[in-house]
Amino acid sequence: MSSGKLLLFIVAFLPMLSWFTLRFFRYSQTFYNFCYRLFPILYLINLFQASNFFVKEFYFFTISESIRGISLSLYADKISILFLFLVGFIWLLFAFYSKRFFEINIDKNANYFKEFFVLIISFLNLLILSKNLFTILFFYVCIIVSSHFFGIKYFHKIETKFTKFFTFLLYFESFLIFLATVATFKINGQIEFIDKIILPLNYDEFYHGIIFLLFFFGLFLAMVVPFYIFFKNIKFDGLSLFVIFLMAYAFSSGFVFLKIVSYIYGIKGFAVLAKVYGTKFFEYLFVINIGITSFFIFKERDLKASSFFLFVHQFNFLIFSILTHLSGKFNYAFISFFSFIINFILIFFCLASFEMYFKKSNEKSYAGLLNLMPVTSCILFFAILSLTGLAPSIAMIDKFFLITHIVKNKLYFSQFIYLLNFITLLVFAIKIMKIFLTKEVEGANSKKIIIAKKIDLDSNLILSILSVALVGLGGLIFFSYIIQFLSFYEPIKG
Amino acid sequence: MEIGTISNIYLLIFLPLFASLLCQIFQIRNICFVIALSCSVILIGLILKIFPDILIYEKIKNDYELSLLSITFEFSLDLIGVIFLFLIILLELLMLIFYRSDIESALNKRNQANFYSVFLLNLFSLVGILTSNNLFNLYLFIEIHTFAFFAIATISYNSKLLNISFKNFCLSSVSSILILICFFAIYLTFGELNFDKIVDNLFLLPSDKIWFLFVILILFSLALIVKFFPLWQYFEKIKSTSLVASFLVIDAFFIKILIGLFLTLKFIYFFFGNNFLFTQYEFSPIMILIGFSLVIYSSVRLIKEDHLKLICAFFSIGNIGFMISAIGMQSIESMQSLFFFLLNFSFVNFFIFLFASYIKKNYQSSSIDKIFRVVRSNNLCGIPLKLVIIFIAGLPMTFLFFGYWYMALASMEYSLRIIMIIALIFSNYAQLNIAMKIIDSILEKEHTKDFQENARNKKIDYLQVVSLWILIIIIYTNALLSESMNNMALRFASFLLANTI
Repeated sequence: MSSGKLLLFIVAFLPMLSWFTLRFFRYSQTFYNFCYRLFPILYLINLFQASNFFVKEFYFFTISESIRGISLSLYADKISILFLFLVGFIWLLFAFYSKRFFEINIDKNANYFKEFFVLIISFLNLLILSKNLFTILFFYVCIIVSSHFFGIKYFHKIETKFTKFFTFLLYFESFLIFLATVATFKINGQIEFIDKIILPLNYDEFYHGIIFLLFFFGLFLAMVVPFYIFFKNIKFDGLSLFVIFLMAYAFSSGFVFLKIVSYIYGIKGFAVLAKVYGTKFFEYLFVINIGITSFFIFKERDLKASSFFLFVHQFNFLIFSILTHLSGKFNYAFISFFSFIINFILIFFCLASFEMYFKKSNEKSYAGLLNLMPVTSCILFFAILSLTGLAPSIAMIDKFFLITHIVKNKLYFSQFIYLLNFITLLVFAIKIMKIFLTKEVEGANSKKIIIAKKIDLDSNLILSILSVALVGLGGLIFFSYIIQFLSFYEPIKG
Repeated sequence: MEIGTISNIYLLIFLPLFASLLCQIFQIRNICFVIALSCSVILIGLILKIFPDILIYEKIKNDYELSLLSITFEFSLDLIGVIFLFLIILLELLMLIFYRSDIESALNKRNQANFYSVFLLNLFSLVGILTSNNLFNLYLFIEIHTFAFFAIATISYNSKLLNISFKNFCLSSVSSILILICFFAIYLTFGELNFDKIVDNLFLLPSDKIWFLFVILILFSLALIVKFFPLWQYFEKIKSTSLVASFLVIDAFFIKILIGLFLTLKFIYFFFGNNFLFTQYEFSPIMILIGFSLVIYSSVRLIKEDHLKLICAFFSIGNIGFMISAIGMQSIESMQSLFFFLLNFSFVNFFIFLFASYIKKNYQSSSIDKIFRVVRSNNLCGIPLKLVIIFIAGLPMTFLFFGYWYMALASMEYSLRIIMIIALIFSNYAQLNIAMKIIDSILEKEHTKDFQENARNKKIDYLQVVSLWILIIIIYTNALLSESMNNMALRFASFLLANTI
């Protein structure tokens, strides 16, 4: 086995090994905590070393092959490297944040929660390294099944009901991906990414369109169908939202979509489709969804309750943004995705810190939180403003190029969607700021202030949150390197 | 061809008959069970030994040039036959192990010896049906099978069960007469009873006598449905706790259906043939529509179903629906999907049925909501169930997944067959729904402490647990050998389509 292959093997299975190790040391907390923080560091070290090999050459290995074309195989390309670093960073971050979080906020299921996160990381890692559509489908389903188990075991009754329905939609999504994969296999006889554009450009546009729809709904059905209107009191903790919705769902489906568009259609293939069928259908879909979620964001008085709708709102906007970048500068679609992930890590971590304070102090109101927890509150505002594109972060670049493209090409409907999103976010930010700023916390005693300050200035918590914010800021400066790094995909544009 | 292979096939056919006689001679409790068990294990060993030769030669048969109306035993074992033979013997072996303790407690010494003797006679008839190359022999074995089935029912003292079995026996007799008429008509037309010779002479049939073949087809189909797919008759007794009822239901649901499927494939491909069924008479749309209806019916019924045995029955109906459509589609991919649905039907559905019988016996309920009782009190039994969930849900690399995969590949065309995509969606929904219900039940948070205390004191029937474990090991081994399984599916499909007339 060559060094590159060996490193690929290590990078692919280290998170899974970490999960097994955690399960093994479950009853020895010292070893457990040590391993919990050690493995992400080991992973990143290996990844740094491996990336040198992966950039130069394609490495791959097959786990199991059923027939030619249908195999479980892994490989690393430039997109994979980028996403692996992101996963490694999030893993490291969460390891430090959650360890401290569960020390303060004692939860009997803390270990279960941590293990679930590591399991999701290991499946995400394998999903990113997938060499073909079949492998992607396999690990996507693994993530869904794990989420389903987690939802039933960890959540309370109301949340469980919602999560069950959500994961059921995800199962259905996976079946649509299955159909799309079969159709791709039928048309072209292979589903390997290594061969770049899978669907031939001269093929029937009708087939292309159907397959695209299958992939689209196979990845985003749970977000573009507003099923949440049938559920009351959707309230998830910040960390649950982070793990279940951001990592297990948004990260995986977003990545798969980018990979499919890059490799299956290519930019030209997508442009042909857009030209033949237009994009009105998707635009209507996004307007409806963004409209509904905006309504719910304003309706909910609680930040915890509105955070889920904010997530759905922004996820719909992210898909819109990716689709718009596809017809312009494709590599900026990756920037959209990264900025979305970074901003929501910030939002959910800040929310988790607030919840910790509420639990410790028996407080329920957000009023005056800016005085009590200034650092966390400021970072939250930064993240929300960053979503609008106003704060100095990587999201600014994304929004700038998005608006330039839609104005330049006179895409009026897209401009309307952008405006709707901008106004909603701005009003939401002002609303939150008003609560945080204007009202004084009633009867705030010294004990509560001490708790708030302790959480706000806790080195482990605040350093992990700040490092995300710094990455967001750094992205503003280094985004061109990402674009340049991905320029490898230019030839695929056809 | 080696003489050893021929003699092994003879041993395969006659060993159960000798073993059955031995059971009648040694009427000692454990000895009879050991004889039946050893016989089944040896049969599996023999099949595995013959299997490489079958893969090489595709068909092994003896040929005698005797009289016209030959009653000599003429056998022919081909790829299809050996696959079905393996599945059926394996299921019979598992049934034998699973019901061992029940038989011991429910029947006295004499009845036990009779039971094992009849069981082996049944096995003899099954091997005979699958290997016979002569219509007269085939008819004979079908009759032995009918009698053996009824004989098992008579051991029970349950009047309701006897009543159902008697109805089944009457219907079987009617279908036997229909089969006899068909075989007689074939003999009168072709002057032969040897299957291969009839097929050779089929081309000589004048075109104005094609209607004769059509009548045979109608009568034979009717006979097959009544005799080998009598699902509706046993729905009434499916929830019964009676040992014999359970044994008969499992036999009717799995063994009879497998035999029925084998005969269907054999006659469709090697007797009536592609030319007659799908070119001259266009049976393809009818078969696709029948399959589609069965899948939709079973999926709809599964939505609100909570009883595990009924769930298994509807799963089986769904699988049969897919298999019928696959036959109607007439493509390599559809036949590959048939192979995987066959495996799913034989292993996964069979597992669910055995598990349902286990919890019914030990926890007084086969309801899906009560599964947590098993999982929490008996890990030995709970682990196989947890492991089988992914096979029920049809996740990637499972039998159902490959079945769906090939069915979807075969269905994606501008023709009627595209409706099978809808069937796939329905079926997938139903399977997932059941898998999710099982997961929910396993992770059920609200259960009383009293139950846990009582459950822990329950005595474990190790033979039943062993049979569940054997089955789960077989399922996983097959899934892990997915490359070989896919190759086998391709061989299976190619053999059927290449050798059809």
